Amino acid sequence: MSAGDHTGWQAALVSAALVGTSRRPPPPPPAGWPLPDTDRSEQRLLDSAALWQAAVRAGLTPSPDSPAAPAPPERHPLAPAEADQLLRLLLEQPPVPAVLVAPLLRQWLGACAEHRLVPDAARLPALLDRATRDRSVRAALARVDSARLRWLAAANPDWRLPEGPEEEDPAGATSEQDWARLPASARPAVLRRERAADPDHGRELVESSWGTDRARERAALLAVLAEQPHPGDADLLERALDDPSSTVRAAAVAALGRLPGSRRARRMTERLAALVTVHRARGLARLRSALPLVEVARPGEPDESGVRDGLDEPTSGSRTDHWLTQLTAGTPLSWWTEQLGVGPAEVWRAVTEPAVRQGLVEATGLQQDAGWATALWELVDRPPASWLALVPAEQRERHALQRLRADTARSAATAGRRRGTLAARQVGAEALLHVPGPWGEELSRTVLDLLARAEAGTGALPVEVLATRLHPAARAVLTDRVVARETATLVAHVLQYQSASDSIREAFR
Amino acid sequence: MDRWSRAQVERVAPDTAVLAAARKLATPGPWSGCGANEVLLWGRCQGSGRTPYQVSVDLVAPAWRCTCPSRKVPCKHALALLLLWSQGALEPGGTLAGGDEVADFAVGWSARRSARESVATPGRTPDPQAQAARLQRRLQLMDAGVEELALWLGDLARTGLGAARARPGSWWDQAGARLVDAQLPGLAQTVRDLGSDVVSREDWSEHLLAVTGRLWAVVRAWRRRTDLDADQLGDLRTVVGWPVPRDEVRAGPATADDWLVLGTHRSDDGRLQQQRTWLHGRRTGETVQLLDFAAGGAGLPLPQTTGASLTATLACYPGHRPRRGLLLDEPRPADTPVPWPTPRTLAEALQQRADLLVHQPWLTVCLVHLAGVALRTDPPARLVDREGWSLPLTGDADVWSLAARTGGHPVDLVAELTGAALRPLTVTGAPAVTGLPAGAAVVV
Repeated sequence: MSAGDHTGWQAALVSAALVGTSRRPPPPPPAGWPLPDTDRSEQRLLDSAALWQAAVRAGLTPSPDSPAAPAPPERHPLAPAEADQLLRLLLEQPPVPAVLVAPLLRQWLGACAEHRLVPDAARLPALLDRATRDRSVRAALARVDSARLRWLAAANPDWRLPEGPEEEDPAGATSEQDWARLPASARPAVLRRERAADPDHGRELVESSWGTDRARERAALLAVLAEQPHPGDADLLERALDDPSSTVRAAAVAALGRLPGSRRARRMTERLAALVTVHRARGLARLRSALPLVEVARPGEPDESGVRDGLDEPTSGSRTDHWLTQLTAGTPLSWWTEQLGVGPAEVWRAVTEPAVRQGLVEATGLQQDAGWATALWELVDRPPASWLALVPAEQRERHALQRLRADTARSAATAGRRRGTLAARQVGAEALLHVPGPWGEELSRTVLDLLARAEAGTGALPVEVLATRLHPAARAVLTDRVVARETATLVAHVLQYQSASDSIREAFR
Repeated sequence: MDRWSRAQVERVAPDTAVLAAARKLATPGPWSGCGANEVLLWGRCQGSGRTPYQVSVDLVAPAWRCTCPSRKVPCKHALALLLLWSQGALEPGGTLAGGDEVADFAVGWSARRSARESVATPGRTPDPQAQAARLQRRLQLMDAGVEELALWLGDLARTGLGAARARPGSWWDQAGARLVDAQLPGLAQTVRDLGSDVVSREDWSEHLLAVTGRLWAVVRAWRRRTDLDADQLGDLRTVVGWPVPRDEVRAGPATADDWLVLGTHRSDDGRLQQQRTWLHGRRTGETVQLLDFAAGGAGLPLPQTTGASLTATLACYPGHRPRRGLLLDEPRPADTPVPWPTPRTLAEALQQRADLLVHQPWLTVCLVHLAGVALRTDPPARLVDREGWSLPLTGDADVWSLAARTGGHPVDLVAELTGAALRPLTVTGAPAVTGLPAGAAVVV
């Protein structure tokens, strides 16, 4: 018997069952089907159902179908078994805190790609899950040239992976329509991503919704533009200086401050130039000192245009000092070197006015000027830690070390027992954030040594910064050392990371 | 005794938390007085207390003993000891190599265990009169319960499935609870499951009608139960949840054979963990299932290694194929491997089940060995055979794991066939392009 031949009966049976036999009697069974004799219609329905369900199961047939295109063969050999074991551990039972898993996965995938190997196919679903959640892992996974990986990623719409080994993430380019639909809270992150790929497109997105966005949203988007301003942003920012909202105007001023080629920078330069007189050394004086003398007059109350450009009232202290600093910070640093015909260090020596010097320090940070940061590092008292990112790489570690030692000495002198966050204490450790890894052995040893003693604020450094930047050989510092209780966990995590990282390196050797 | 692989140790872990804790302990630091012989592992692990925990592991009939207070079985200490052993740390020359001299606590435990095993069976002779009275009481309860179910089904048919669907979940639960009281737990579960199925399933009307028909067939069969032969009654007892005592099964005929482990399926519904292991006999050609259950914190026994050939003696529960077996002795590796049963097309596999259904109308799950089936991942995920037919996968199947390992290439596959869906268990043969090792059984 087969249920397939009796579809009409099945339909009638189901519909009778749905409304109940009190309203509709069950259909008579197909001829020849053995049903017990009964005059109770509900029993007849149940008997029919019993027969029907047995017939359906016994008569089940598969559906006609065709296979889909299978994965092409792998072109590269499999990663070694030890490496696979480590990968499995990272994915299933990570031996390190969660924030350190992604860097280790990136290292594993990087080594795998570099050696032209492929991961065991059994790990691919977990890797793709991970890559979907984590952009950095996705980029690393995309560089692995595995045919199975790409086949699998294409088959599951939940997984995202850039197309080819070297291609850009296609998930980029957000259209203006998509942008318009994005919730305000999601926009800064999307804008940041767009800006990294194409600064102009990012700005166009901001402009596309500018007219309808609320003041708070406009200010938040300008803040993202200000992170890495682009000359093309100048027009939008210039317009934003006339924005009805003071928050938006302030955000525009901040962004323009980082664009030395803008019209605002020109106006600030004109205002400053009117106050500055350069006395060049002549005659015998020139022999004694090549330095010109810079005389700076006090600025007057800013006019309407000055206020528009961000000149404002100080919260405390001298108003003219404040404006001088603001004018200097807003003027391109190149103006000084051109006017005086000397380099940054000489400009610093020639300018004695403290408010102007303060402006030069701010301008160096705002304009991200590597030349000025390098030249002024030794001249300025406690240059901002963020300058470390600007100075040449080979000087960074030296400066950071100096800073760390100075701070350790100072804190030993004051013997202050106050604890606080890194930012609040402004200690040398903060400088380390601006020194990209991997760190040299000397710096690493110093940091680990301080960490073991829980000094100089090193205990407040994020574990992922320490783990990924410290030099592996620096661990020797900890041999036979008792680590301070405050930093014991942090040190343990760093060591766990380094040992896992060593294992990965060895597994691929 | 061959050292277990890391994966084998991991499979014994009751949950991942214990395993993670065990990994942390699997360093030489806290261990002392460790050792291993052919049968036992032992060691002392320094925990937070003053006295170290005494850990013993029986490798032959996997069992564990630890003096720690953990209720996890095996606990992290036993697992850590196994991990250390699997890494070779307990071998001569390993970091924890001990003597051959077995620690006293391990000897004592092992002796007590074997004593208990041998005594357990003939230990107590139950009072036959009391037993007969208990059986009589249970039969009365079950008879009444089945008749009450008959009335309930009649009401359902009269008032209609549409009306039943509108009932709250508690209505189904109540009907289930009455069947529990009537000592018919198998039927109770079926009815309780209906309560959620009617709201969650798209084909709820056909499904409800099919289950109703099936329950009605149980009622009809129960009323004739005195006319049924032992196997028919055995099948019916499984459906209603009236278990056959193990001692009765043990006393029945035994089958000594070499068995190939085809695959294992583990499930956990939150209250009960179940492990179903499928074995295929070399001589008998019969496929039997071993069922293990565990509730609460207790762990399931170590699953047999898929693809392994074992020599063992089984007794079977009364019933038709695929029968449920019970191991009578501890399996040992067979001298020669048992060949895999011939893989079939989907149509043949369905025909095999239809043949089983002739005798076993209550069949819910059976095992099939499929030839050259390729996975299609586009929903509904399904397996397509070389003749161009397909069946969908069960909802709990790990589609992406199978996709990753096979790359959509046709492979020979052991699967459970349940309803109209397949649950893949083991890849038994794959072309080289998949990258799967030739001739190895790969659990999916």
